[in-house]
Amino acid sequence: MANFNQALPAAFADLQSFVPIWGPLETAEARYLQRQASRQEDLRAFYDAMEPRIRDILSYLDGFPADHDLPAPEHALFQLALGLTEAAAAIEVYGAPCVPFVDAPHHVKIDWNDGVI
Amino acid sequence: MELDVGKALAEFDVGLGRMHPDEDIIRTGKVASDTYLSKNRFDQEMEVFRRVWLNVGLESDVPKPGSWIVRDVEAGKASILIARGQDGIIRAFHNVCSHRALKLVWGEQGCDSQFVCPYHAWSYASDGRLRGVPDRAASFPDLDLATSGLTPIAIEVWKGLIFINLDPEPAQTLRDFLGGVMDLLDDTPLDRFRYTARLSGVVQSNWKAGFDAASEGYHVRALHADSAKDMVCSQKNPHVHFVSLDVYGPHRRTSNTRNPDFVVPESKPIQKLIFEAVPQVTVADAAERGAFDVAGLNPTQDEDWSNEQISIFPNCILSLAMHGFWTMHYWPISPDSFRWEAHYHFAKAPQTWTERFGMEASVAFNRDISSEDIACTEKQHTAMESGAKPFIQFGIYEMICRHQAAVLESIVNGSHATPMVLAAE
Repeated sequence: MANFNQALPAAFADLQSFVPIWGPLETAEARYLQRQASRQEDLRAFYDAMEPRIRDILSYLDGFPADHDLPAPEHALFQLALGLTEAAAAIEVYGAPCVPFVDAPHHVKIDWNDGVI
Repeated sequence: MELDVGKALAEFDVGLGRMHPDEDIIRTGKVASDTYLSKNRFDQEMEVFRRVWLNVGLESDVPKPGSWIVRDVEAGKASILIARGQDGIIRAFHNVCSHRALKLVWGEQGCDSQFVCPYHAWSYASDGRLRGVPDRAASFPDLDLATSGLTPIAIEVWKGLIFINLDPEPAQTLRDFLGGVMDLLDDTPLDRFRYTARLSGVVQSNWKAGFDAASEGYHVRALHADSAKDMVCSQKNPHVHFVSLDVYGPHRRTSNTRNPDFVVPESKPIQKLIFEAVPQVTVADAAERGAFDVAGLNPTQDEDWSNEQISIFPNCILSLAMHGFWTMHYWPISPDSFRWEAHYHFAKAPQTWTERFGMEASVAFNRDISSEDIACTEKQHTAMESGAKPFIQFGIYEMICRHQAAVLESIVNGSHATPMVLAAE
């Protein structure tokens, strides 16, 4: 998705510069690969921008029903939140983008099943 | 705890006759490295995979009539099509067209009223019956539709888990095969934890090395020093011994503990948030058994209980914890590669975006911990291939690894018993 730059909700416009990177990544596999391909300083900049805002982001999103798709601006914001979980692993756990000694790019597919029968 | 090694010597039967686990392996922990490397040994093990029950999916993978999934069981050179018929019954078939033996369904999952072969468009109903053959009158005037359906595979569904058996005439029912494990888990509500994440990836190592890594806590302190160590290694149990063990034929159960003093450090604000956002499946925050408060689990009533690990022969590990359960599967592909698969089963669907964030993050965190194991087992395999160590040695608290190796050894080579010895085909 070239030049993906969906506008974020106004209250979070300061995070807009991260949307082209993390916004279009719709799967956990894609976000994990993005983390592995990133430089640690870029993950640090993303983490430093997001960490102070994440609780506000989630309380804002909790105003929307969880069993419906989010509107496009809110969806892009949630994508950033999910991207943060990858950046946090690099910053808080490993001190590097990759899990130590894992051959990158390391592919792990993640599929969710809502379990409704 | 004084471990009673004798327990691990108990007789088992996987449908090939009554056997004892190899006593030398159980007592010494020494296992030949060649069992992880040799093609002949691999072929013998795959013959075992073609005879026993294997958990290949979840009932919720095929939720409604017409739903289907395809699961490759490389060990049996099989592609398996699992479909729920219009009658609601879940069936398994070889994913092979009756016309020219082509792989019938090429996708991974879907919901359709019929399966159409891409080659010449023979079509099958979701119950496996051959329904349509183009140009049948001219091309196949004598074809008997009734006997030309998909080749069925034995299937049983138990507590939301789908098991198949590639043997055309399985020697055991699923109940006979699972034996005491089925009794142990009879009262557990496994099928209530249906909101699931499935993780999968290919690992360049022998499948047994992957299985070994998930079968002992001894490595947590070193290998998972960055990630899980502080959550698991406690002052009381620094090397993560299991606190109880039982053997049920070829299967086993251990109780495992957590670090009751663990708190997420202030230096990890996002991990702290994740742990607050949603109850963690793998990290207990209290020594409660939750939905798994049933007799037989945590039999010593350990106050630091974290999870009960049920290791189902040959390749499935089921871990029951306070807020859910998770499974690990190791699917052999070749002597030096396997497909790793993990499922995290949550108590319920996320009710808020914060919960959804927490669940996604928690699964990603567990993926990273498994990736530490994966990196390790890949390096182990390469090092084994050097031939420097003709055998490896499992400690007392790596007893599940010993038992797995000992059961396989007896089935394949018949030591210390009078089994039916399997010949590699």
